[in-house]
This record gives sequence, C-alpha cells and structure tokens, in this order.
Amino acid sequence: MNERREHFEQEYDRLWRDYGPSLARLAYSYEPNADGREDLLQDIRLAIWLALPRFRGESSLKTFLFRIAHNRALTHVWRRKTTRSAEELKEPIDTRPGLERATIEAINYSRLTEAIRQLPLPFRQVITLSLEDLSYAEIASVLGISENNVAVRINRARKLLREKVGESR
Amino acid sequence: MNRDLEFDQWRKAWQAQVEVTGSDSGEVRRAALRQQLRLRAAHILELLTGVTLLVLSAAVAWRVRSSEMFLWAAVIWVTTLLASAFSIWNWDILWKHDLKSVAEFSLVYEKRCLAKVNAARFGKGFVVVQTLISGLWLSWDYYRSEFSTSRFGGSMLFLIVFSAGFWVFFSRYRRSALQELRRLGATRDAPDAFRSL
Repeated sequence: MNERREHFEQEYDRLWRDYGPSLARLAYSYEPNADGREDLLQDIRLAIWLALPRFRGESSLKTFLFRIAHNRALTHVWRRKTTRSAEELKEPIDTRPGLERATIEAINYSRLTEAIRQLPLPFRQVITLSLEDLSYAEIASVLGISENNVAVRINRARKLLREKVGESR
Repeated sequence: MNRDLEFDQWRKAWQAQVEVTGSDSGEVRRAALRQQLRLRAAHILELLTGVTLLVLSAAVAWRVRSSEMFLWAAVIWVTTLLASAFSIWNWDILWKHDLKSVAEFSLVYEKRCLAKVNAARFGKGFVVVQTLISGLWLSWDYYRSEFSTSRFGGSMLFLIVFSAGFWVFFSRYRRSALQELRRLGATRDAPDAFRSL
C-alpha cells in the first residue's frame, strides 16, 4: 500500500515538475490577478491529484492534463463572483532574472501576455495551447473540436494577436 | 516578418515565463489532501443534515400518528431525498467530468446550471405552496378557536420569516446560476471573437 502511494506521489511530483510551468502559464492566461491565479492553480493541482488514478493512457498525458486544467480554469471563470476592473488587475512588469532578456527586448514579453489576455477565450485557448507546442490533433482533443476548426481558430487568433501586439507598441 | 519566425518568437517569449508557486511538492500534496478532506466534510455535513431531517420527520409522524403528519413527513422525505440526489449530482459534475474535452465539459456544466435554475424555481414554488397551505391551516385552526391569538401570531411570524429566508436563498441561488450561464455563453460562443475580425 505504502509502496503504491509512494509511486503515485513520485509520479505526481514528476508530472508537476514537467508540466507545472505550462499549467501555471495556462492559469496566467485565464486569471490576471495573482491571488485568483494561486486559487486557480490550487484547484488545478487538486483536480490532477484526484484524476491521476483514472488516467488509463487513452489519450496522451499532455492532453489529459490540459483538459483538466482548462476545465478547472473555465469553472473558475464561470464561478467568479466579481468582475475586477482593468486598472485593479494591472500588475507591474515582470523583471525576474530567469527571463531571457534578448527575447523580451525583441518582442516585449509583457506586451505579448497582455495581448493574449485580451483575446476572446476560444482564440486564447488555441493560441496558448499552440504556444505550448501542442499539435493540432492534441489541441482538437483538448478542446473537443475538429482539427480544421483548430486551424481556422489559430489563423484568426494569430491575426488578432498581431494586431493587438501592434496596437500596444 | 516571416509568420513562422514571428510565431517562434512569441513561443519563446511565452515559454520564458516560468512561474510555478508552491514548488515544495510535500506542501502541494498536503494542500491537495486538505482540500479533499474539506470536500468530504462538506459531503458528510450535507448527508447528516439530510438524515437528521428524515429521522426527525419520521419520529414526529410516528409519535403524532395523524394523516396530516404522515403527509407532512412524506413531503419532507421526498424533498430531502431529491435535494440530496441533486447535491451529489452537482458535486459529481464539478469533479468527475474534468477528463472530458472542453466542449463536452461546457455542455455538462451548462446542463448543471440549467438544473440549478430549475431547482431554484421548484424551490420557490414549493415555498409558496408550503406557506399557503401552512398559513391556511393555522388560520383555520385559529378560526375554530384551537389557538390563542398570541400563539397564532407567533406561528404566523415564524412561518413568514422561515418562508422569506428560503425565498431569499432560492432567489440568490437562481441568480448565481443565471450569472454562470451568462458567463458560460459568453466564453463558449464568443460572438465578439468573430465580430472583431
């Protein structure tokens, strides 16, 4: 019993190590407020913890995790009690040392994330999944839409994102 | 700029953001377990409330042994069982459908919100009917001089406060379900998404 539990916990740790940053970025795209984001991440952690024993390998682990995370994030958005004002949600520009300065200077990381957040949700979902290196088939599986639909949405999302990044220059 | 190059730059910038709080896995695990325990405690509390209502109504009906009391107990039993079944189904949707795709999950969630709206509507109707029956019953007894004026007044006041409390609860419940439905519709259909292009 202990051995099984230990194995499960190791698996969970490995999974969080590998996919934690991606899931945190996903939470970031849904919830701009730091406190709300921590609540959302906590929800995602719990949902994964509860769902992991039910993973039978019918889909890839990545698809499995992103499905759970998106569904939790949507529940978070739908159940949110108040709508915060844009001013209230503004956060200082990120200056953490781990970020790649050259990339940030080239396209301005803050501007990109801000532009992504302004995208309507269906576009935000496809673009963030695509930015996380998921294939069209994987995105289709996470969202439950056809691959053609994914392609159309990604094209539109990219166009819209380009405009929004341009606007904020 | 080349479109693929542009997307690669976005991807690089996006993935450079590595924000993972709660990196201590033990802490995460304990928090997850705590939350799981809280959920179970909420379930147990709901179950205990249901069982208490069932036992109390059965005991009162058994003691008084009148047809009105048996009818009253039957109504309590049916509504308590319905409410418990709804509550379990509600939790089940929130935590057991996570593995579905976003589109499927949205449909299930929408169904849940509609069920909540209908449950609130049923609850409000039930409160109105219950209040009317109880009010008429009390008035009839008072008319036949089975109640003193002060006892009748106290009972009516209790009935009104009790019914108003439930009315407010169901109204809020319905309002929150409708808000969820509105947000769900806005995020799923996202008509603005296509209009803005």
